[in-house]
Amino acid sequence: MAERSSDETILEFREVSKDFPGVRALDKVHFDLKKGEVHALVGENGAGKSTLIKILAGVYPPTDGEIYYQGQKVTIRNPKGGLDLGVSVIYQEMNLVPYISVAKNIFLGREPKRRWLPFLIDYPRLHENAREILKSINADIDTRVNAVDLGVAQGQLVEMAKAFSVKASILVMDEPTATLTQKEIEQLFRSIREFQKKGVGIIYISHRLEEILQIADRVTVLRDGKVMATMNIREVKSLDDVIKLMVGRSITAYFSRQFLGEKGNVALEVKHLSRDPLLKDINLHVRSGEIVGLAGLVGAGRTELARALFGIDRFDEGEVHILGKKVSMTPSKSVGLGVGFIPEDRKKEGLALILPVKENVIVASLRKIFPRGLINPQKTSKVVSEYIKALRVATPSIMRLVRYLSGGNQQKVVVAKWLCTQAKIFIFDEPTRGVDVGAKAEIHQLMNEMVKQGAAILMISSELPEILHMSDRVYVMHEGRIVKELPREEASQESVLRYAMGGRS
Amino acid sequence: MERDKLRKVFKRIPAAAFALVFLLITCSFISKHFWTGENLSNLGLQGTVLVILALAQTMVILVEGIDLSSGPLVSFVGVVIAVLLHKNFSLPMVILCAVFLGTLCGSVNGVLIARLKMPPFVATFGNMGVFTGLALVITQGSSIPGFGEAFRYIASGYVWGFPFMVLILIFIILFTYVLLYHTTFGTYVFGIGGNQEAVHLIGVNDIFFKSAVYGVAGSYAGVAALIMTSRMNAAHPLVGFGLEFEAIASVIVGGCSWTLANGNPWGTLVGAATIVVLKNGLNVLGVPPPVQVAGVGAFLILAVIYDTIKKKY
Repeated sequence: MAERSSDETILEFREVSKDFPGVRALDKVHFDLKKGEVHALVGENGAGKSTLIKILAGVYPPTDGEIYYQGQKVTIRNPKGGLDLGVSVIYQEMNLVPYISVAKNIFLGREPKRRWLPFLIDYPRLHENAREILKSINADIDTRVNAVDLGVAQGQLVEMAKAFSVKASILVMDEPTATLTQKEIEQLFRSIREFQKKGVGIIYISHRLEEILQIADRVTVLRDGKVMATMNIREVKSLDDVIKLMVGRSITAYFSRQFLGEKGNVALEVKHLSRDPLLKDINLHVRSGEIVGLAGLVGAGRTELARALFGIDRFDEGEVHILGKKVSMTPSKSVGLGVGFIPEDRKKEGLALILPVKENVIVASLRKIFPRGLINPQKTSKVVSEYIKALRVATPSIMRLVRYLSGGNQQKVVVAKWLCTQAKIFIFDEPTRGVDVGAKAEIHQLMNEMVKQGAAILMISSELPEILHMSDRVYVMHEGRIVKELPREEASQESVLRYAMGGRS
Repeated sequence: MERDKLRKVFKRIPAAAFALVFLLITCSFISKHFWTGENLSNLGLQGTVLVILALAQTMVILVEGIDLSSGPLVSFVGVVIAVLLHKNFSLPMVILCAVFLGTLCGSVNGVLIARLKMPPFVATFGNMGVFTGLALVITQGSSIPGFGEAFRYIASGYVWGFPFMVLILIFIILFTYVLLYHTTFGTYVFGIGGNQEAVHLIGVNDIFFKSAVYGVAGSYAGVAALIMTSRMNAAHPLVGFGLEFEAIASVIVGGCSWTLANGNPWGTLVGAATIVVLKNGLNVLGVPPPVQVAGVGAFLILAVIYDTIKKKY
């Protein structure tokens, strides 16, 4: 493949940095793209791939550094600026208009007009031009179909056709193959090659390393916002080389867990759970007294699994057993059975930000504590105060509005809410996302105490060190399946990541 | 495969289409006069204003909006028309003013919603009050009757044996069709409703086009006001009361989803026709008008229940 790319550089990032409050998402990144090459961008969740793309597309301005386009220094102020340079980004979520035809989507805003009535769309020409473009990228799609009736793969091809029609010189594809079948991937690759022939530079983000070996000319590895290496694909001997560069994130201030020798009964068990197309034949179990980590890359289906388990989303097949009994879950039943769900987005799904700590803690237990529906304020305060004290939530009083608490303390309030319901089984989705280092250790300590007292915890985390530090066992998910169960002793950053990326032992 | 195709076609047919067929058959049984030319032209007259407002509402709902102020806007423009006529403005001038005033008021809705990001419900709900109030202030609560022959021609004149009004209606329907399906503007309407971000990302001024949709809807209300005022030969400050309800109902029973931007003018036409025939039928049965309103409401809910159930299969 490498022969196709010329040496002409179209894009160059020099020492580009991007700071977000409290995080350096990109740190003096060098990145360049040549005409007609496919340049793969790989890295763990949060390594900085998306930030880099968004800077290129004009969604964020860089904090520091320079961008050169065909040798000229440029500033990309907004998405329009990116487009004007010839940058087309195909995001993971589709950007097609559902109820207009494929042809109209391709030429949205640039429809050919009739010669004599220049305000009317020239349909014959529109469809003809659209057919030509689709043909030139090797896509066989009826231009009259509405976008809503397309499959994911076809939608992607239409987005590529759109990019083609604006004569993009840089095409960015973010995880294009995440939901495609093997045959569709081959079709996509054929279309990518057509772009290469035309001299378009392609930035290709993917978690599937095998694929990168197949399509890319060069690969750049990002870790913690830094470029670890840029390699010619021919120099890459094995996937392990790349994986080694990706892992090894700095591990700081992790609470060291106490591991107990013996575990209790199976508290939560899932058998053959499937939900088309996100979850496929999931089997797992969690005993009381253990923390089970659920690792995987973004989009592997971890959150979807958690939601199905708690009864938020329905599933097509399979069984959920709680304490040995088969149950059909709805959130209301889950709470009754002693299951607590600490969601990924606590501000949206876990808390009522404009209410005080008191209401937030008591809300899930109202039915249990006050079965007659009348609330006794003294009793509420007493119960809530106990949990606040036990969890060491830093708040001046239980009347403090939750929105004024720090991320870590907010998370503790969510946990307090479930402890208050006497829950014994907890699903933590990203328990320490967005909390500072000190609070992180405290939450880990809290989880440690919970399992000591017999709780069963299923923990989803995108942070490998967190998974490795906290889990008795680790399940690794990849594309909706649990691909591996690793006991604590065998779980390492390399092994987990290899399975998460779809690799085999 | 064949069955799948059949199911797909079936799914595209809105509840209103079945209801319309059912109502037409029922009406021919309960009333001997239903299929007479007189009754049909009566239906046409009743339906014209509704269809025009419903088409405007379709465009607004396509951009994920709603216009609660279209009924009161008809009243307001109608009152202004009456005042202008009594001040001896020429007919073309009056028509121009009516359409312009409608566009202006609609654009106010549009700017509030698209530029200031107000929820469409709130912005048009507020203007519903403003337009009604203005109409009441101008007329001091009573109606303004009595216009010249020329103005009355709009609603009661005939051209080659066709009611002039129906010609206006046909023109408006064609205009809407061309606007939505044959111009860039129409593509943006579908685009903004279906995926505003996509439209924004190709460098289109999505906010301008979204406001413009409300402006166009306002101009339709202006035309409706001309027809209404001409037909009644009077302007009344509350004449448009409840028209927005029937217009919105027409769009919904015509199969347009609230959030999907999947509506089309044909569905709306069927929806509006159904509502007109339903009211006509209830009339024949001697059902009093207030109960008819309840009937339209109940029909709307039944139609939506049908569409919701249909989605599952």
